[in-house]
Parts: sequence; structure tokens; C-alpha cells
Amino acid sequence: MSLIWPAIELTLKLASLTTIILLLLGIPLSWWLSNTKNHFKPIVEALVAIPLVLPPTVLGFYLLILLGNNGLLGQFSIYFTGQSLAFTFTGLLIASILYSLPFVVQPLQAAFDQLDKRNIEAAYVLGAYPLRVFFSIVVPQAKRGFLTAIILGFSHTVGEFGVVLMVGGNIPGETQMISIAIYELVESLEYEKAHYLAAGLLLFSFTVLMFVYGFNARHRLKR
Amino acid sequence: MFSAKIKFQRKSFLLDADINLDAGYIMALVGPSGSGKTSFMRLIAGLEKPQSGLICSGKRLLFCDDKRISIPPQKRKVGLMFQDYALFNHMNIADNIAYGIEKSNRESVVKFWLQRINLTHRAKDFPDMLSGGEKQRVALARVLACEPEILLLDEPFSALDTLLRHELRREIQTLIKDSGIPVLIATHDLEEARLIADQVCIMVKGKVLRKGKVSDVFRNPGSIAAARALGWQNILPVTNSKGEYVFGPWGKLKLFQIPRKEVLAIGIPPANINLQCQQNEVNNIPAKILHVVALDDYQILELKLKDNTNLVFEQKDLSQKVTVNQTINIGFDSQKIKIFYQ
Repeated sequence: MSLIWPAIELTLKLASLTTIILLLLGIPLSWWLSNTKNHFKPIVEALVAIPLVLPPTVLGFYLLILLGNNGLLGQFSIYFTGQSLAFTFTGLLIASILYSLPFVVQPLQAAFDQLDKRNIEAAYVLGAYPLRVFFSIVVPQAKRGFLTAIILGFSHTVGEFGVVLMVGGNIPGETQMISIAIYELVESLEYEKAHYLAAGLLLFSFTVLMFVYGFNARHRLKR
Repeated sequence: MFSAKIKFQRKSFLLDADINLDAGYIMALVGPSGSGKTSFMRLIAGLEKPQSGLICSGKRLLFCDDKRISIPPQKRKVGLMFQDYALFNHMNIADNIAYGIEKSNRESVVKFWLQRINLTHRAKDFPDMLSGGEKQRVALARVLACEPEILLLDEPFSALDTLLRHELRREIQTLIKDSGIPVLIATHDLEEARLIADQVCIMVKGKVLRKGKVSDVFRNPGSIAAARALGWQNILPVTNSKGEYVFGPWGKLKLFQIPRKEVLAIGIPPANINLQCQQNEVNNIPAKILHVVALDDYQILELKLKDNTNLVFEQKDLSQKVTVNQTINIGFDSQKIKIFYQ
């Protein structure tokens, strides 16, 4: 069991941090994508969606180069901390953010697209400033998108394998996530422990998806 | 006093308009769809930015390109009621009305407006649960509760049925007059403009063609385009004139006076056509009846002149029977013929 708990703890920590950072980055990015008529929009949309179609090992490989000793971000990190980002938790976090980006940005963008823009304008004319408009009009009207983005961003990070293996390696307590722990347990023929983790992940994924679909169905009925 | 002089260009559409409006007066902004009425209101409200111009509310400058002043919509104190009302569907009625009110007196103001629009009993209901008329009253209360310095209503009655329109028009007129602020109402419904407004402003393709008192403007639109915007259908082009007579491809007509300058066209009110005209009478033209639309106590005839110009006639006296494709002589009272000069 010594392998399991640190992996669970690390996975939850990584997924929580990734989701929070992705929300902070994803909200302005998806708002921009939803409202802009800029010529660069398709390019940005394609870049955001790349992790959906690219094999995780390809993304992981390039991230490893970028974050490693000779990579731009790696050297930047060495300059300030004396250590590259490859095989570290920070490196893992950066990789997770990029890998899960479309799972947060796309539901948010779809929700922002469906917003009644007149409501936002009416709020402005009634004297509300952008921050109040965001919390009083945008968030309540796009709550389905927010919930979907949070849940998909979190659960996708929990289920990562290829990218985290490439970028983080398999350092117990530091970069070893649940999915990698399962892989290692299976390799060492510890099937019972692997079962605990695998079944736990299966149950988690099913519960999360059931919650998302249930919430969306209830919300649709209310409308 | 509110005044706005705005120039705004987007792609090929140029809006170049100006209005002046006194407190307590209602001005109807009329014009066909796409004439720029909504854009004009959005520019006044600060939702769009003009390329140049000046917008003043009393002594307050809301926009001035020379001085690089552009007050954001939050600070303009311009009340804009959207065509579809734009109520916040996730908030109840009381919260909708409360949205623009300062916290200190929110409760009492909401209570006042709920009473004023007779919806106190529905304060906790959501907009989805209201009828069209109730939604409109909530939208108006929400705007007026913010105590705006000018009120802009974009097609306020377009989503309502006729009966409700009449009822709400009266109700809204009272609410607006009580508020004592200048009001601009965009509408394509000319009857609505006549009934609700003190002044009218005709806007076509982004330009103000005529503005003034409702009775003056409707009686004398000033230009052919303005007349068409006011629903005038019977406009005959004039090629030349001699003395009191004007000539066109449709024939000749005698005016009640010698025109003071070159005549461009003449306008004939739909009720100013005489079907029982004799051929030897002055001011008669042969016309063919194209369509007959029978209504309750009168019928509308669509007539075709020899140059293929169409005229519309409201036949109030149904004693003379007419049929489609029949050719008749129609006559006009020269006193009622409107002259459009070059």
C-alpha cells in the first residue's frame, strides 16, 4: 500500500492545481475566442485543440525537450532555481495544463457562445462594471459550461498517462501518478493492488460523467 | 435637453444623424427596418462608439470626439429598453428591477416599482413565467428604477398582440410622462408613432430626413423618401409643369396653385381618389383595378395607371361596385395633392 497513497495524493494535488490554473487561463482565453473576429482565431483554436488528436507521447516528447536541460523553459528554470523542469512536479503541472487545456477551454467557449449578449449589454447600461457583469450575469448563465470544464479538466488530469510518464517519469511521491502506479503494479504482477487503483479510477470516472450528464439533463429540463 | 449628433460607419453603412429632445417629450424614431434606428440608440447608450459627434445630456457631455470624451455606458445614465427586453432569466422579477439600483435604497425602490407596475404578487417569479406584457412592464420598471436622464425604447411593442399594445401604450405613456425625462422610441409602426409621440424623426438609410411635431411631419414629410417612410404609396413622378398643370407619364393633373419651383413629384393621399369621376372632369386619369381587398367597412383597391404606376385607394363608399381588371376614370381633389419640389 506504500505505493498507492502517495500516488493518490499526488494525483489529486496535480489535478486540483491544474484545474485551478486552467480556469484562470481558460476563462479569458475562451472569452476571447468566443467574442473575437480576429484572423488568428482559427490558429489559436487549433493550438488549443491539438492535445485532443495528438498521441500523448508526441506531446510528452516535445514537452520533455522544452522542459529539459537544453529546452527553453528548462534553461529558464535552471537560471532561477538551479534545476530543470523535467521529472519534477512543476514540469508535470505545466504538461498537465497544456494537455488538459481543450477540456476546459472548449466547454467554456461553447457556454460563452450561447450567452445572451443583450443581457450583458443591458447590465452595462444599468450601471454594472465588467467584474459584476461577469459574476452576476456570465457565471450564472454559463454555469453548465463552468461545471463541465471543471469536471473534465480535473478528471482528465487524473487519468493522464502518456504525457506524465514522458515528462514526469516514475518517481514515487514526486511524479508517480495513479495511472503510472497501476502500470508499475501490473509490471511487478501485484494485480490485487492494481485492482484497487484501477477500480477506484473506473468508479471515479463513471461517477463524474454521470454527475455531468445528470446535471446537464436537469438543467435542460428546467429551461 | 438632450442632444446627439453622431457619425458612425460600419462597413458600407453610414449613420449620420442628429436629434434634440426636451425633457418630458416623447420622440418617435421611425423608419424601415435596417435604417439605423437601433444602431443610433446603441450609440447614444454607449454600446457602440461613433467615429465622430457630440452627445450631451443637459450640461453633461457623454461623447465628444474633439475633446476625446467617451463616457462608458455604466456612467451615462441612459436607460435603454431592448426590443426583446433582455430580462435576466436567472433572476426573479424583484432582482431584475433591483439590478441597477444602489444598495442603500434598493428595497424601497423595488417595492415602489413593483407596486407601480402591479406585479408585487409576482416579485419572486422568474421572467420565463411572465406574459409578454408583464415582461415589458418589468423591463421598463428596471430601466426607470435607475432614474435615467433619457429613456430609449427600441421597438417596445413589437412583440405584443394588438389588444395588449393599446393597453400598454397608454400605461407606458403615463409612466414615461410621470418620469419627466426625454424619451426616444424607435418604431416602424407609424400608428404607434402618431399615438404615443409628441415629435417624430424619420430615419432612412442612416440619415435623418425630417423631424418635428408629429402632425407637421405626417402632413408634410418634405421629401419623397420621407413620405415613403411614412407609408405614402401614391407618389407620381412629374416630368414637367406649365402653370397650374403638372405632367408625367401617367397623364396630366391640375394643382390648386402654380408651383413655386420645379416639381419633382406629387403625392396623393389614399383617401383622396374619386372613383366616380367623369371623363370630361378636370384631374381625371384612367386606371385599371388590379386587386380588391375587402375589409369590414371599406375596401382597398390597387390601381394601375397607364405608365404602370400603382396607386392605392381606400374606398369608403361601397355603393359603387368595382371588379378586378375593370378600367375606370379616377379623379383627385387638387387641394389635397401634395407637391414635392426639387
